[in-house]
Amino acid sequence: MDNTKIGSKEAIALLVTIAFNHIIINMTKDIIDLTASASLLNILYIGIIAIIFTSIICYFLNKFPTFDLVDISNYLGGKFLKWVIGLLFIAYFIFFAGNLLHMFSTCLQIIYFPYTKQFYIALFFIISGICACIMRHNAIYRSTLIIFPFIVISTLFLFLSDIQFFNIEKMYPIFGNGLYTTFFTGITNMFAFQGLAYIFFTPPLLKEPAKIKKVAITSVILSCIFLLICVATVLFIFNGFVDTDELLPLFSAVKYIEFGSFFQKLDSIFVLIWILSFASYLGITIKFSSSILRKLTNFQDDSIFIFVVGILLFIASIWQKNYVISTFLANTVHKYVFFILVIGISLLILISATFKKKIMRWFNK
Amino acid sequence: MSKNSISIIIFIIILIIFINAFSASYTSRNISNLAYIFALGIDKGENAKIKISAQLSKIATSTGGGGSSGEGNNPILISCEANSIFSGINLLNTYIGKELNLAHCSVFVFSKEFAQDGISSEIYSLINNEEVRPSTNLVLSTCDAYDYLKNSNPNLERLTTKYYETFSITDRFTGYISNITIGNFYNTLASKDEEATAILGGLNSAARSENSKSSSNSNKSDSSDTEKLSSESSGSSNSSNNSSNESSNQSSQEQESSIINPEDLTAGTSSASGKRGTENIGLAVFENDKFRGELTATETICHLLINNDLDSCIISIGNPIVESEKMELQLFPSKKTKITINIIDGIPHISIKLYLNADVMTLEQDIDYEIPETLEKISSTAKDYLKNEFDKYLNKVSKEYNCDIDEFYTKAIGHFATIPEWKNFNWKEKFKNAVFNVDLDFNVTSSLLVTKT
Repeated sequence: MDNTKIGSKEAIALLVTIAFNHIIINMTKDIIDLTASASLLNILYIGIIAIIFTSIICYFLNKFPTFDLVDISNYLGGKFLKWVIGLLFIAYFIFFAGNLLHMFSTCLQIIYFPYTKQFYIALFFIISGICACIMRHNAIYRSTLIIFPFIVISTLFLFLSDIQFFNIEKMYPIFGNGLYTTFFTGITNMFAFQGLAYIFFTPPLLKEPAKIKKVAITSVILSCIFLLICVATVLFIFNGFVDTDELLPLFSAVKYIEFGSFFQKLDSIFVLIWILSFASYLGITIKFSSSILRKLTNFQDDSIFIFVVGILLFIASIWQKNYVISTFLANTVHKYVFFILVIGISLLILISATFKKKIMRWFNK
Repeated sequence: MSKNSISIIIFIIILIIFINAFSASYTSRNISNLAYIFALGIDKGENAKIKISAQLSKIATSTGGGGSSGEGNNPILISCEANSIFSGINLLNTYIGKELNLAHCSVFVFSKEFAQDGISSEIYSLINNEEVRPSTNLVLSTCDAYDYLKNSNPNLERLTTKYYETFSITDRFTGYISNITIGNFYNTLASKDEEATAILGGLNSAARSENSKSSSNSNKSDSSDTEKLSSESSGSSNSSNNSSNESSNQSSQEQESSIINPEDLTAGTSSASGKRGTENIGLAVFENDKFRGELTATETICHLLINNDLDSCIISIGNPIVESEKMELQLFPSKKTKITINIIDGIPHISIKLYLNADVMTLEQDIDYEIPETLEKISSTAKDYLKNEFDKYLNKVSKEYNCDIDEFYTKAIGHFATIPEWKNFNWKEKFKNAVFNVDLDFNVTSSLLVTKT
């Protein structure tokens, strides 16, 4: 029995966990900052676009069953393109996951560990990620599936518990900062679906690669629901969120949860779940990056690469001088790189490879 | 060396690193190093920008049999002057030798004098602190915050923290206060269209007389000092004596000057007295972050009814059956208040439809409360009374204060498609000229247990 392959459920949990971590730490704030009261409308809109985009990439991925983007690049442009695409994605995963780690560990430092250096908090996550990745049988994906229900329950619990503080009318004016911002500039909010970048490398992991479309679309829909719930929670509770900013808006929303004097300060439970979820996300990123490196170098074992990626991720998480730099990287640079690499270059490679395949078939005939 | 041994060594090294790295944070949050503030008062300082007063309690050590530990009976009140809340807290940390923690703070009290200059900096700073809970109540005291905390002695509860928790309960059935938290205040402060409120607190009649006495005593000692210093000018010392006599007379008159009618009643004016030296009645209205004015008990009821934040309350109306007598009714909202706003020629026309049921509480002799005409008479009088009170309240918040404390803007904003359009409309300016139409669906249902006298 091949234990290294994962089923559809594990794959969905994996892809949604990636999106969830970005939503918790950064996306909620960024989406509301841009689209204000039209955030929910914008999420529905970008959700539909994300589903269409996912359907397109799955259509092309299905032309190359069991191939990931590195394999397809190899097929299209040989070793050169394979190395270029492989290294670009490794850099993308490591750099922005490292940046997110910086943001999350800074938040943890402020909230719970004021006298601990951010360096150690980041190190803690890196070590846990490396440990999860070196476990055999791709244990990281299974552990993600275990944590996933807690993520779902905690998010729903947060939404339902805060309902008493909601003011639904905060979704007006319905078009927020205007039609242009909501439907044109607002497309950039699509980078909330970070799972899309990982979909390109998922087919070889699946027990049934043909199910990639089902897995990908389900994960995008779930990510969209998570995004709607989290943004709605922040939007409906806080009045002037458009004018003020908070480090971790969902943490501020969690602080509102109280059930009389018996259940107070539930934020610790949420932070614990978010820590577990973030450790899973880092583990997944390390695993994906080391797998790409293994493919590029044709090594049999990826253990050495897990350590290399872990160290690189750690470096990527500690170089930022302050939170402003990491916010700029997460909100501005990340957005552009996502659209160029994940939406643009990757789709171009898939289309070109499919075209090449058709031409080759025609020539063979 | 085997692979297992290397793994164990690495594990031990990592463990030591993390124990070392995280122990400082753990130690700082250890309960033995912390002192929890229950209530924090902020006044205008004499020598610095602010004077902060922190109410703490002694953590009782374990008692013989039960081994329970808990808060002591007598809260400790400490204060200092500083340029900001946190530099003040830091000074108090040095004074008490522990780290003051706001995680269990139940109430922030600002003095009226301080709030007149604006409290946004303090509110943002407090919200910025991870320890502060958004559910912490916010009180604006008509007296000094220090005096308010000094006189906050629980009547019924053994624990001071429990006493502060009652703030959020009483508003649902008295209607005399609203459960305003620092989270609410911060939210409204961040909004450009809405204005904030705070619970209005003050000293009760006994504490007021006590305060007046002590101030008159201090005046006496001051005047005797003045006498010593200026023995030559006898005329001036006589005038000082006169002023001290005046203040003692004033203290004896405090009780008499207490307000009875809820239409005029605010904190620091009622006749309530007892061990608890403070009272919370009414609301403090803020414009942006500055104190703008007060709402009386009845106005607070109107505010709560509009915002669906009231379970029941008692109102006193002129008795329609026995003239010159008063009749008390217990009000219950039967449905949620409906608010609709139409904008006609740039003027908001705000329609408020309230659904209220009431029970007659005060009965008179030889009256049949089962007769529809009697109930109709009471209904009509109560409706007129309430309509008048609502008109006065809405006039006060819109025309006098120009503060939308009832979130009317949330109903108006739906008429606009985009935020720039809404901003151009300038709600704050338009709210001043808003036309209100209060429609009461009022029904007196019964007279509780006795239906005929």
